[in-house]
Formats: sequence, structure tokens, C-alpha cells
Amino acid sequence: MLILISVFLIGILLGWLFRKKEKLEFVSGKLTLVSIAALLFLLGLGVGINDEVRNHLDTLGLTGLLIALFSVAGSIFTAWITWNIFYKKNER
Amino acid sequence: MKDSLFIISFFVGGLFLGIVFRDAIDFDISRITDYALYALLLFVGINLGSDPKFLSIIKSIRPRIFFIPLSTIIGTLLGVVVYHLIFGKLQFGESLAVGFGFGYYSLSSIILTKLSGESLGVIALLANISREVITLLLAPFFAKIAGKLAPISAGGATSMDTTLPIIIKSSGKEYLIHSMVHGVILTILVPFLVSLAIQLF
Repeated sequence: MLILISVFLIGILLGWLFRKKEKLEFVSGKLTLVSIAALLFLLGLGVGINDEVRNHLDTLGLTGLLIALFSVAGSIFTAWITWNIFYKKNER
Repeated sequence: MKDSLFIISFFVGGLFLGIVFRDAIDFDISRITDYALYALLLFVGINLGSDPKFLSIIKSIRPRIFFIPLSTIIGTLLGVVVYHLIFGKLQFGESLAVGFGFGYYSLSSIILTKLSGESLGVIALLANISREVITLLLAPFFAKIAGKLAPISAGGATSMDTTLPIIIKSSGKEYLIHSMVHGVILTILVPFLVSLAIQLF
């Protein structure tokens, strides 16, 4: 995991150092998309050959949806508190 | 949105090929995944660092603005705790790691596939796609019931790109910077918080 985090931070530093290179942001954006596509293809492949996971896709999907709903509900609740404490009175 | 469809089609394509050729595939997928993941994080980092707005966004940060990503993190944590108390099928750390994807489905699903396995990877993928879609559909409603920070919080890490237009529409242009700073901070934190959650709990 440490390697992952280091690679990520090195990336930010490299990007910042070479930010004057015009095409860098564009090219790194495209390369990001390519590596995401490759990784999700591999994830799909891994799921496809894994009987255990493949046979439980519906349960996994439902679990995912529920976690999303609860996460969003919780976030909205705390955003409402932050709004009322720090932002609302500056509105008008 | 177009990018999301493009990316999802690769998952579905892999799934399909995996099912068809499941007896023929005998190499270790996780080995290839490791290197692709390093490449991804490097590119995401470079992309973030080379963004001309990166420094100006970081500079425009005032202390108060940190309360927005902080409240998103605490809110997501609360939501997952409630989910865990009601359903609790997964280990708490697993659910929390999924929640801490904050809508960044590509990165969180891949990190969790690596750290935990395909089951959690798939849950993270679907949970975080759902978070993005829920925000795209309901941001105006969230702004109405819970104030103008609610759409930003709901969007999580996506508040800097995919859900930014609907957030601006729901909360107003004055919240553009808030939304982008929120998205940048959560995007940077996703790899840390996801791995922290799965390893601590």
C-alpha cells in the first residue's frame, strides 16, 4: 500500500514540476482513462472467471447501492449542519 | 458521462470474456492488475499536479472551506455506521472502505480488488457509481432540503468534475470554488482513506 501512495505523490510532484509542458495534462488525462479501462477490463475478467463472485452479482450490487444511499444520506445530514453553522448567515 | 460509459463498457467486456473463457484463463490476473494500478496512480497524480488550476485552487483555500470535505467524510462515516448497524453483512472496515470511495469508483474498486478481492471490488464499483448517479439525479432536491453544501457533499470526489455542472446549477456559481476544492481534497484522500479503513477495522 505504501508503494501505491508513494507513486501517487510522486505523480503529483512530477505533474507540478512539469506543469509548463502544455500537453502534459491532456496526455496524462488520456493515459489515466486508458489505465482505468484496462483495470476495469481486468476486474471484469476476474469477476467473470470467479464462480463465487459471478453467482452473487445481484447481492453485491444491492449491498453497493445500500452503502451508497446511506453514505449520501449521512453526507447530506452533516452538510446541512455545516451549512447552518458556517455558511447560511453569510448568504445574504 | 461519456467517459463513464466508455469505462463501464470495458468492465462489461471483461466480464463477458471472463465468463466465456473462464476455463482457458489460467494466468494470474492480479499480477497484471498491480502494475496497471501503479501506472494509474502515477497518471492520476501527474494529471492532478499539472492541472493549471491545481495551485490556484490550493491557494484559494481558506480554513473554513475545509469544513465541507470534513463534513462529507464524517457524514459518510455516520451513514456507513448506520448501514452497518441495520444490515451489517460485511465487516465494518469493508463497508467503510467502500463508502470512502466518495464516488471515485474506478480507483476505489481497483484498490479494494487488490487489498481485499473481487467481491469487495465489485461492491465498491457499484456503490460509487450509484453515488455519482444519485447526485446527478437528485442534486437540486438535496440543495432544497439541506442547503447549498448538500449537493457538493453528496457528489463526494466527483464534485470537481462529473457532478460539478449539476452542483453549480443547484447551488449557484458562488459555490464553484467550494465544489472544486472539495473534490480535489477528497480525490487526494481516497487512496489513503480506503486503505486505512480496510486495514484498521
